[in-house]
Amino acid sequence: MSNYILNIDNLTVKYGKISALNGVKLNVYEGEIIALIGANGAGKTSMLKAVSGMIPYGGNIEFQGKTLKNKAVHQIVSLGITHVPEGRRIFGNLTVNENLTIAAWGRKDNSGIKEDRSRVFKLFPRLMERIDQQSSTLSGGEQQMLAVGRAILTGGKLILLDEPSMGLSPIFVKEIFKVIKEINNDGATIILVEQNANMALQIANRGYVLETGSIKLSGSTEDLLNNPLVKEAYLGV
Amino acid sequence: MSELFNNFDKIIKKRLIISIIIFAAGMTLSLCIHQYNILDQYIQLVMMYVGINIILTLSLNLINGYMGEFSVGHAGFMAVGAYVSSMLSVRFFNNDIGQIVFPIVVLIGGICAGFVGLIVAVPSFRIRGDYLAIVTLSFNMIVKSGLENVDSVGGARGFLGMSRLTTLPWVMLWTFIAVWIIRNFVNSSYGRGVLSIREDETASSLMTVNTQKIKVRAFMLSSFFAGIAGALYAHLIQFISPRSFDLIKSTEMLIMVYLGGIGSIGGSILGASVYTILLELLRPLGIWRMVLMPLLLVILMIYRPNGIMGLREFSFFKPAIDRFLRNK
Ligand SMILES: Nc1ncnc2c1ncn2[C@@H]1O[C@H](COP(=O)(O)OP(=O)(O)OP(=O)(O)O)[C@@H](O)[C@H]1O
Ligand SMILES: [Mg+2]
Repeated sequence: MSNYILNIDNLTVKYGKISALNGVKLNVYEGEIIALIGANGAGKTSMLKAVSGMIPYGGNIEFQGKTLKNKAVHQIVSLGITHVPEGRRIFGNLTVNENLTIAAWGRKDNSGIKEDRSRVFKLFPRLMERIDQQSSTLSGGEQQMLAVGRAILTGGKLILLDEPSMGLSPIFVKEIFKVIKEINNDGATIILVEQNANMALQIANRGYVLETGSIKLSGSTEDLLNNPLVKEAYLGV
Repeated sequence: MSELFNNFDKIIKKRLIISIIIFAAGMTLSLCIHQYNILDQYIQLVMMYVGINIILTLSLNLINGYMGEFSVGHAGFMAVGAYVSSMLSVRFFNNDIGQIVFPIVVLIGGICAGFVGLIVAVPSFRIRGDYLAIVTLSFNMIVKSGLENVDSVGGARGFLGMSRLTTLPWVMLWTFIAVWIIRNFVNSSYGRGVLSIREDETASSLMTVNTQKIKVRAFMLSSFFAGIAGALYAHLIQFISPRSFDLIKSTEMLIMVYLGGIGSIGGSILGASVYTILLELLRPLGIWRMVLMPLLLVILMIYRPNGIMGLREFSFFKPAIDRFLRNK
């Protein structure tokens, strides 16, 4: 863990007059899992959206030393940043298979795609069983599997996950977190946005606490788990 | 595993053979009908209308059905194809050569329409939403009133002098080409990109899909085929006027798309055929036809809101790999 993969410096995001982020600084080392926690409306989603170029912002974001400013979303994603957005956003009228095919749209390395495909089916055998099913008819959990499967097929070095546990049963949350850890073990760096702070901090290396648009706390996950403020506000102990 | 792939190969081979047989049979039949006048002239005419309308419906379905945008002025592109090809035929090839260069003239009509499509698409797709509808609507009106004011193409009186070069075999051939190209396009990885734009444009750009580029290219392909249909139409009727390409014509195309079903090649073929034939069958009713037709549509929309096929497809038009996965 020596190289930064992502540097966010003095990031500000405004929606009209509302300021969602004011001067956020955040660095991510290659290979780690970062947990980003914060209350509703703290600006977590806005931060991920800024990274993948979905919204305009002030300040600077660098990926592997190169600025992402003024790049279109598809260009940023092609550089190696995969964003699994809030609410999954799978292509409901298309089949599981079609969803996975589109996820690898910009890739030319056919053998790599094949490999990632079998990786997805190994992680989620359920998706293989439902390969030809219209994806809007999948259960919520299966849709989340598909969203994560798509992320694997897009093949980014840095994966942004926006509340992957939303609406999932506790067993399933465990399952998804296990997969996230596996994806990380296979080499991807991960930024994990979560309401489920406890679970997120357990698999992460470091964490950031966002409060009304500013970083309130950051540090190793042990420190955060033992921090009285975090305990009270996010862990509910 | 290798057995599975043999199966896959078999499906592809079988499909290729069926395609060739259908193509050969269609072409032979249409050539015979044309050559020996097997069918009544009127029936031949209706068959040609059906073919031209299939091309138009496929063209519009690519944008409104597969891509999920809303174009309401496709008759404008048809007009470009019709006028460009007619001008070429009358001004430059008004002799024996006309018949020989006819396919090229039609192609040029299509290409010009494709370029006009590019000009319309680039600004329209800057913003998502109703923008394309407004731009294509005004485009259609501009083309119509523009043509009305250009005397060298006959102005509002219209333009004539083309020989009747459009024959049943030509229509058949262009219809096959349109079905084949659009089928391959929507099933290509490019076409998957088109579908993902319809489903969720933001999400698709998160999968590296260059939505802007795809939208512009799909729109060019669509207007190209509208232009081809226009050129065929002009050399069939032998008379075109700005009124032939007004908003009513565009609306007719919309009806055929939604009647047949969005996002479906089979649906486009059915929608265009049913609409065209029904319109002819109802001809004796005179003006009442225009009452009955919308009524039928309303009934259809109530009982089949997605059109005849609506997002479904005959497996023949689907990529073989899908069938392969399903059958195993
Ligand atoms: N498109 C928008 N227009 C106006 N305000 C917005 C927009 N998107 C977000 N906001 C506001 O910006 C603030 C931060 O929103 P954001 O979605 O980033 O929060 P979040 O931390 O992801 O919250 P949650 O945990 O509820 O998902 C909120 O106050 C929200 O109302
Ligand atoms: Mg959020």
